[in-house]
Amino acid sequence: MLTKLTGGKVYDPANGINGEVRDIYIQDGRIVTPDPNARVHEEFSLRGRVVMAGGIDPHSHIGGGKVTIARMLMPEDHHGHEHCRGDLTRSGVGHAIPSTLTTGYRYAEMGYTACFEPAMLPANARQAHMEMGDTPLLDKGAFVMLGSDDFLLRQLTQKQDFSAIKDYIAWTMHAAQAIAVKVVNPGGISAFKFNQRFLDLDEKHVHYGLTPRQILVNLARGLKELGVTHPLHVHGCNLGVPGNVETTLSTIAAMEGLPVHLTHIQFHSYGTEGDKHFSSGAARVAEAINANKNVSIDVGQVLFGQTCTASGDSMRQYGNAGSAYPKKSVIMDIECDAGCGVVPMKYKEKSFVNALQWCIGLETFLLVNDPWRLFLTTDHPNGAPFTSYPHLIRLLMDKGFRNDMMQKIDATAQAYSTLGSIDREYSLYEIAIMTRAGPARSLGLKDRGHLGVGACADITVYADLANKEEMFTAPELVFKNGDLIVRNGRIVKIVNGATHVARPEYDKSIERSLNDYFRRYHTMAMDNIRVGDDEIIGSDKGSIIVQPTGARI
Amino acid sequence: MTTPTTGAADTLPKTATQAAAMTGNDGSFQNVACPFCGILCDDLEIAKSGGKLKVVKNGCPKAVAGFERVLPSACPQVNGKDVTLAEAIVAATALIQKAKLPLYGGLATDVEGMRAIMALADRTGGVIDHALSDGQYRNFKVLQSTGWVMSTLTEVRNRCDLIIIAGSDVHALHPRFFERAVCNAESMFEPQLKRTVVFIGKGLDRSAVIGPHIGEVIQLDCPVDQVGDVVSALRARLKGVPLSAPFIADVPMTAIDDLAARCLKAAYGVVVWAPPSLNFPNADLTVQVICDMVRELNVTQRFAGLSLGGNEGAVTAGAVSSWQSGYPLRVSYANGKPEHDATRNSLNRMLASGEGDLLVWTAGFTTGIGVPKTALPTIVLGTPGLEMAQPPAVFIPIGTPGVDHAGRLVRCDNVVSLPLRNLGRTPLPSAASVLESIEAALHY
Amino acid sequence: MSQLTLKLKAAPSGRIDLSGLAPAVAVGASAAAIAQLPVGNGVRLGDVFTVSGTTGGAVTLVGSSDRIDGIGAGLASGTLVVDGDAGANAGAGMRGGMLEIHGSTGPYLATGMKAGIVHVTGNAGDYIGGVAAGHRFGITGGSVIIDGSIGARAGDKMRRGLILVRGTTGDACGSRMIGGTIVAEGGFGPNAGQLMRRGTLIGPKAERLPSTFADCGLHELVILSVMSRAWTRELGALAPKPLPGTVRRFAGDLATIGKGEVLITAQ
Repeated sequence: MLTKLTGGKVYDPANGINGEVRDIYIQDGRIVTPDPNARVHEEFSLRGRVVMAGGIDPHSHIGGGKVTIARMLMPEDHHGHEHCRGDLTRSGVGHAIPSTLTTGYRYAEMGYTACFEPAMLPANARQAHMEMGDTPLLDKGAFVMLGSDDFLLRQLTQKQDFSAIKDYIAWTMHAAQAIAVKVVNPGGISAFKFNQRFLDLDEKHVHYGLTPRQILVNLARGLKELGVTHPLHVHGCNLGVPGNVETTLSTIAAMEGLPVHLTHIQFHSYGTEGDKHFSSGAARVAEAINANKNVSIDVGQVLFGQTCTASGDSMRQYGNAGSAYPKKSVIMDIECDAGCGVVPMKYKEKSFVNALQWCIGLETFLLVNDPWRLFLTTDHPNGAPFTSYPHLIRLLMDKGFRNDMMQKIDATAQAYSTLGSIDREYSLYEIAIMTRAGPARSLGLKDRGHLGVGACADITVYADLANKEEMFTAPELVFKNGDLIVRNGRIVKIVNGATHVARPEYDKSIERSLNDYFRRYHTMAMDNIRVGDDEIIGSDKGSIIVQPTGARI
Repeated sequence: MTTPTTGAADTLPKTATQAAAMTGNDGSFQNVACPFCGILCDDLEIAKSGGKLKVVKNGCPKAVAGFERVLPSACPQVNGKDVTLAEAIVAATALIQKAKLPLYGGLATDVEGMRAIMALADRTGGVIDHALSDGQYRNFKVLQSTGWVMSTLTEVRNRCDLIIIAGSDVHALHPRFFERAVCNAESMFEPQLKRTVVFIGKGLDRSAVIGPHIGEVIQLDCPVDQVGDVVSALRARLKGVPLSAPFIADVPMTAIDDLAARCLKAAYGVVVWAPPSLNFPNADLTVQVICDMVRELNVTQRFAGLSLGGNEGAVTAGAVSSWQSGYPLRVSYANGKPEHDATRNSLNRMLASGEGDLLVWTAGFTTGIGVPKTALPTIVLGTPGLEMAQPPAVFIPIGTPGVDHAGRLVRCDNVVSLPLRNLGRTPLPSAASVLESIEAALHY
Repeated sequence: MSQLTLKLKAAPSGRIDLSGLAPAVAVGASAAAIAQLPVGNGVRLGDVFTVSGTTGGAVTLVGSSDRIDGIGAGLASGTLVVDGDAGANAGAGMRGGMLEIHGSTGPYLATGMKAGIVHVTGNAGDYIGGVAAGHRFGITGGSVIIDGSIGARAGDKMRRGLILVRGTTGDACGSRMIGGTIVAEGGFGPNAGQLMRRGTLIGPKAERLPSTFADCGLHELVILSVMSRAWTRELGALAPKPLPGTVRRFAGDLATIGKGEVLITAQ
């Protein structure tokens, strides 16, 4: 069957297309150049409409233990946010931490067709995939967490051959069915188990004597040499600590040109200037990003309202639990592997700190020059629920609106921020880079995030409205693999997305030491850690796409 | 294709599918996960000969009873008459189709079974609750109102130097917990470590707390329903608050002070409880005071809670329910959306008060979990031999996940989940496959 | 004066959720519109009750049952009278007005109540004024008066307001309490005040206080007569009996910050 999307204004930055009127043809789930004589079975007239590839969220906590702990911790998040069962859709709940099915529906209704869980513990990988398996309509993938797991810390302490470290990284990616690797508070989650409360870049872990710098460099180098496309995904030291901008700048310098992605950088861009000893470090961070082409970031924008933070960073989440609203939290030490911290949070416009966090995120967006290295996230649900992306897009595209919003926030924060003096407005082309083309390129999704021939037909069609929040809230059409799944903001078909993984090569002899390690110290055998393909394909009714790995350019 | 061996790790099946390929053959299975209690030990060796299973290595009474049980012959039945599986599914579908408020109980199944129950409950406007959720709600109430600081089995195994067992007969519920997480020969940190194990509560089985890594074993003899008083006193003393009573729930204040001193010296202390053991009124307050104490200790040192329990797939049911509906069980779909009420949607309460018009009971692991007494028409998906308080309208024998078919379960510590193998004991269908067939046959 | 009457047709077999009633009355819905309110599981209010009269004045339920939940939930003003028993969550989240139940109630009476008066002539179940899942506190204001006895855990995470029980309480009354006052004229069951942080429990006796309460001896508390007078002013005949000037004070729960107190009035 051949489908034609006729006459839309196409924004396809991966192919350099900036708002040109073009026709797009879909056949068998792919974008094609049809045979000139082929019959068009179905045509959508998209005159005046904006056409982009389906949205890709490269950092959103949608599945895995900590999200479900958050769901359990926060019944109040669900009250008043119930979604009734439809003819096609299951019922569900949730505002900041929606149930899995609802998560899939809401993302698709916003024109997103792929979403990546950034903090999958190896010990929790099976559950993360099961939850993602219950998240329909989206492609998904997950970044496996390393860096506070005792196997790696022992390898580094024992100064094992670097090839063994690479083998372990690759083995873990295979076992956990991951597409990338994330490090969270490098070494810090482990250090917290030894009662350390902070671990700065060059501070030593009390038991292992290692520093976060060593862990970061080894992981980043390992991934580069393994040829994993997405660079090490770094949630740095000292999240949320005033003054952490220095740590962030030192971290960038520490990488010495190795590819690295610094995630939710807003939470790591705080200075200590002014009477309140809390200030924006966004300008300095942006300057460093602009100068270091090896670095990409996502922002982790804070938007006002109730949410619930969920992170692997048990050390910092314990530190932040005093600010919990409502006053409750879950902190866990997990399996000599990692940890987690779940802390409900209400960001208030009239709170100086929250208002300045809001400014810092927006300053970062507006001061970083290259949208190919900056992705649009709220670190869902940590800065705000993903459903607030359309509002965030309007803040970036509409300076008048942004300034109006700024008038509502705490006056001191306004005075502390340079936001009001920044004139930049994002274009649709740049938004398409930040929400599609950039994440796809960074994650190594060869046939996603663009509209060229051969691409997977994940396509979103928007009405071209002046109010960008309205425009991005409810696209008119969303196609997933060529199937029309959303029409005028309503789901019209249910499909299951694929799970994207990367499988770098490694020497299987690493399993000897792993098998011994799990047998001696763990409560789970090495073979049972491994998530089988049949679990994702059979039990979860999904599919697996292995993205190629290869040396990074 | 992998064939069964008695051999080395490199010939182990890599996935559940490969393990399933062993079905029907005699041989031996390594690293088998045991579904018969919530700690899901996964180091069992099980031999299969002539269709019978034998636990060869790393068994425990529960594992032996579960894997080696000789199943009575069981046939699908409608109103007590043997029928085919297809006929039983037709009869079950008709009953569910007719029901205005079906109650989905038991929920003793794996992730796939629970998914199928959730889908069916959503579709049919039913209520879901697990057979053992009274125990789980001692925890959920605390989680929902204050949260907690928790640990997991591997952390405890490697790190813990002070283990306080709070009023729970851990050994009876989890016969290998002490062996696997407390008395382990090797641990990663401080291999010379001698652990102190403290039992709070009379009559708790301490026999498994033995070995070169066990230092002192201390007993504070209080009635189990007063464990909360002892922990409350401990919490007060940890803060330096004087208490004038010479005894708290029969425990001398000197013993409580001694324990307080040990807590303050611990590198990594853990308080362990098993919710099913705290079977007395308002036991959630005992869980609450444990969690509050642990949280306060963390201001200056490290301490954590560890909740056990989770037998009969209870933790799995709570997890799947939470990720799909937002709430940990006791969810009603009667109004077309998930609505949570721990009191009103308690199935025990609903059955006692005669609410609902159909009971759909799933029990795939052990026979002892039973089917509760009710006047409602009942559809039972059960392991053969399941004890039933009354004859059901429809009985469909199902397999046990991890014995008769592959599956997955979430462990008691709520983070780790394990793959369950198909050991090919019988060709009985999974709960999921039966429930999916029922759902597919419904029409509204 | 206008009057709205809901007459029970027959005792319901399933549970009925009337929590939509008070908000509908507050916006002046017609009797016909009220009969159309969903009350759960596809049932309409009019299927269960015959609705007559008009909104604007008192609302009366003639006949009710322990399967009817949420009666008076969200009531903000006016009077709602129930002739019969109530199920769970009666008066939940009340913001004002008067809920008068001539019968007994199930659990979670007045959960999350902020203001107003609830009067129950019979007994009440567990968690009276207690906290429900997803809420920060139990009752945060207003007065709940139960002429009979109550179940366990009354005032769980209660923050402000008054619960008066003329009979006795069940286990762990005032558990996790943060503030407010509970008076049990017939005395407290075991473990009253368990894990309470602040607040006051007053009664002639307490069966077994948690061992983390400290006996502070006899006290002459002027505040008690001030409180008595205030209750009489506010509640008239519904007010607690006058309190004696001298009470025995127990402070606790010392497992927490321990700023709560149990005052025993009998000498």
